[in-house]
Amino acid sequence: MNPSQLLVLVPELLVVVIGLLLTLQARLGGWRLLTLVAALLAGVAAGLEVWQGATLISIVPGLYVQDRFALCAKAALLAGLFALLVVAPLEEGRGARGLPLAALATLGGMVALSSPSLPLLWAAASVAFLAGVAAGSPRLGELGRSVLGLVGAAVVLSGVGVLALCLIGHTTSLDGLRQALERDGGGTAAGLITMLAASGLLLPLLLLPARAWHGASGTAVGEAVLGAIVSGSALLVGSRLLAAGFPLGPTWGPYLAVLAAVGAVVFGLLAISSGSPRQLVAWLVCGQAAWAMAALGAHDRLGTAGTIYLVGCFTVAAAAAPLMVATLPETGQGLQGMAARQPWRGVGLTLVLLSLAGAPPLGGFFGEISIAAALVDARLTWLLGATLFGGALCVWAVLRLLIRAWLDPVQEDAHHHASSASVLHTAATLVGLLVLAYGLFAYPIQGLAIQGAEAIGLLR
Amino acid sequence: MMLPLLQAVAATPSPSASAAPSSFGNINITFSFLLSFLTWAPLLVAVAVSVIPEAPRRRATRRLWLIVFWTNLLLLAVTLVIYSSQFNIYGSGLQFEELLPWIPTLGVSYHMGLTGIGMSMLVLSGLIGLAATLAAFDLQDRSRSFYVLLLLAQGFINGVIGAQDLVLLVCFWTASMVPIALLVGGWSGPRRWQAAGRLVGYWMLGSAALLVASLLLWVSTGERSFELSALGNAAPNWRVQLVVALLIIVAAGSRLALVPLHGWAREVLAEAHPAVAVLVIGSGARLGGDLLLEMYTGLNVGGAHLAAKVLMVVAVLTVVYAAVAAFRTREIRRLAAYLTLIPSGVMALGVAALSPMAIAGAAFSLFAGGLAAAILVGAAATLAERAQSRSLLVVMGVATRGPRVVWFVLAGTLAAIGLPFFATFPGLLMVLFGSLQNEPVGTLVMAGGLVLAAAAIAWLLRRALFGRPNADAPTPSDATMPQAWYLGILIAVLLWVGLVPSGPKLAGNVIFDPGMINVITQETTTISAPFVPPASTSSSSTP
Repeated sequence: MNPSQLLVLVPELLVVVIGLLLTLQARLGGWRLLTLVAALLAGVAAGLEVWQGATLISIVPGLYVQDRFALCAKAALLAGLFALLVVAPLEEGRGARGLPLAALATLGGMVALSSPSLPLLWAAASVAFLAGVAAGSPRLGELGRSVLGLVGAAVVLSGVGVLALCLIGHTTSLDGLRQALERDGGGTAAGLITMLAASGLLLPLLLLPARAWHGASGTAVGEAVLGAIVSGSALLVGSRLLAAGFPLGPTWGPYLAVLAAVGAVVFGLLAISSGSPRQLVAWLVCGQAAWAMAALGAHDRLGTAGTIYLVGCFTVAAAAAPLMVATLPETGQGLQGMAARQPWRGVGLTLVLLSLAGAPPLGGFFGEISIAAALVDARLTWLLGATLFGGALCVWAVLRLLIRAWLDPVQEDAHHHASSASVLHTAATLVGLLVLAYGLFAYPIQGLAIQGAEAIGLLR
Repeated sequence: MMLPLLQAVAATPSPSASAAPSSFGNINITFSFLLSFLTWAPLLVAVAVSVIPEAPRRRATRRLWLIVFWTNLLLLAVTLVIYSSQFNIYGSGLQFEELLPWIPTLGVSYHMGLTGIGMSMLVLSGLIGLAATLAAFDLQDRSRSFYVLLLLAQGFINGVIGAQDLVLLVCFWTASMVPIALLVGGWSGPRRWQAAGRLVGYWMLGSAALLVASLLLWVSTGERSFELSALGNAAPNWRVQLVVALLIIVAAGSRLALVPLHGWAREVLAEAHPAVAVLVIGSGARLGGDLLLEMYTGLNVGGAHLAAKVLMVVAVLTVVYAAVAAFRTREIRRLAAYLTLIPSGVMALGVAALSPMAIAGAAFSLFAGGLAAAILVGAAATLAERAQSRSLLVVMGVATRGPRVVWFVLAGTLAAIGLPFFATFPGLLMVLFGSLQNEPVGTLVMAGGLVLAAAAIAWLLRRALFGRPNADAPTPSDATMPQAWYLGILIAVLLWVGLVPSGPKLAGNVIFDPGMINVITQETTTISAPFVPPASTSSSSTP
């Protein structure tokens, strides 16, 4: 191996540096500046990840592989970390304590995505999930039983599933598992076990609503980590595992499709009935995750590429949205005229929420278009109908919030909720513009996503 | 007598002094940018308006209004220059084309282009944009947000008109709903939530239907392209064709407010600010008609035949429902809302009939109906505002006290049902004559509906407007100057196009207006070619 090829590890190294920097911020002081530096490093790491796209190597055979799927998926996670760090200062107070754990969750997700080994994939993904949960609150008691139960179930279910897959395939590698399933046919039992493992990996998608449901004890940074890094890792690691189980697609495909359809409709209904901005964001994130799951249900190249493409924008929007609504009160009253008071933050919030709802011409819309194309291609029009219905509900829920935020008269007594630092609001706008640019410059990203799907063996 | 005249008008464009170039702005920079300009300029101005520093309240509001007004005037001027001298009415196919690859892996491109119908829609959009700006002259409440949303809506509407790629079209189509819904939700009467909610519900249903139809067509082409031209070559089986046709009817019907997808129209047009109501019914809703012509008949010929009866029933139901509802209502703005459904129904019948003359009439009705509907809702809103009441019982006899605004209402109502001298008249005639052979029952029922609507209007005029004044009603005032200007401009255009649909000529030469009918038939001739009866094809090919 050429030593220069070790450069592919620079993004992981940068994430470690980011984690250290954010850990030291308590001692060094000036946490806003340090967070900004960390955000720049995350941006550089994401750029490096994409720039090194031509470098495809296996550094430690069986443990670390850099293929096009890994680089796309890791770039998506890094983009989420970048957005999170850019808007993190919007939440003043204890949210900063969760930032090092956000870096750890990102690192865990990156390692899982580069891992050709099933046990390492499970272990790294579990680290990402646990770090993401801990980022919300360092105290166990504040996490809530539902959050702890969900993350515990996720780790155990995926662990049992991965172990069973290793036993069925007599191998610990993803490639070996796929070859074994293609050779032996697998059968219903293997299909059910793949479903079990995938369920475990996708269960963390429910962590954000569980957290938002739990109440105000958690931090917005914690919710952003759950929405962006943990949910993004869950979807991407899940798609990697399901690609290995491709021969069993007819077994787990319908299961995922039904799950996605029910999820899209239920999350849409919950979004439209939610009273607080925090809960709305949580349901929107879940609603868009249901689109990504629907694409995985198609179990083909176009579907998985759609998932990769959507998650790239999803992580950015899901990281920014909880922080942008962080200082808003739980009731609708405090929303009135918020965007008129803080227009830059309002623009960022508008773009991010509309993208999560799938409204054009933003990144989320184009992600959903590519998934819709995959669903029609796979003759899953009923699933497309369900996801479109859920999407329409989400759009209406967001429009209602935006009407309140932009057009209702300003509440004088709500001024104390406003953060004074306009530079932070400008950062929020920048993240919103990133979401807009993602859709407008879809060409290279979509091309990379297709190559990423092909890299994990989805050639049709 | 009338039939041969109409056929001659529809079939033979007026001569032009010189062949017109087919692209705009490509002399120096090697590509055409007209449609991108008309789409993105309002969006950029919206961004600029949103960041202009605050000034003292009154001055700031007027300054913002002036920016929006001059922007709209510039857009309309550019559109009229293109319409009068640049658009080639003798050519066929797309003009002012722009093509950039966007997502090649899915076959999506940034493809804009203009057909004859698109040209008429751009003129309509420009006129409605200017009218909406004038209608918002007196707006003081959150004017910055209002103007930003107004410009965003205009930009997205122009984007729909120019889009030649289905993903791009769906993108602009759905995006146009967002600012319009915010305008309805932000500047409406007490029932604003119901109005905005219904608008979003129906229009999102239409967007979803359009997206699914697009994807079904996309799958059925071997090329995997979303280009309208490529999708037109697709040969899906009859089931797919039928489903696509029905989905397009749903998408278009949700915008055109065709029964049973009309639920948003009454609330929105009766509750929204006059400027918003004019924008929604004048150009936002007309996008549905554009879709019917471009996609239903233009792309899916087999499906159009299969679903023709469904569209015909929907069209006839719309007109009959509008007439009956207009009779029953006792509110002036709701009455106007119901009557605006009539041009939509007429236009839909023209498409359903699938004959060359009916299709040309439908395209012409699309333009004229947009103007008539905008006049009607604008004038009704103005009357309700000036009379300080929406109730017909309260505004009774208002003609004797506020003559100018009553004449606007009168013009709008008469234009909506297609009376002579208005542009809606030739469109209606072409639709009725063109439909009579293919859809005789539907045509006769629709004619009955129009008679009923005329009776409702006669009742309105006799009792409500020109009747004995209500002594207890507050004293009404007349329309303000900006209100009179925007309604006057729209009526003048409606009369001009109605009187000289094929353009004024001097010694046989077109002088400045090539004629809306000639511009429209540039496209409808191509669209209706597959629907020409075999007999007339053979007779026309005989020397």
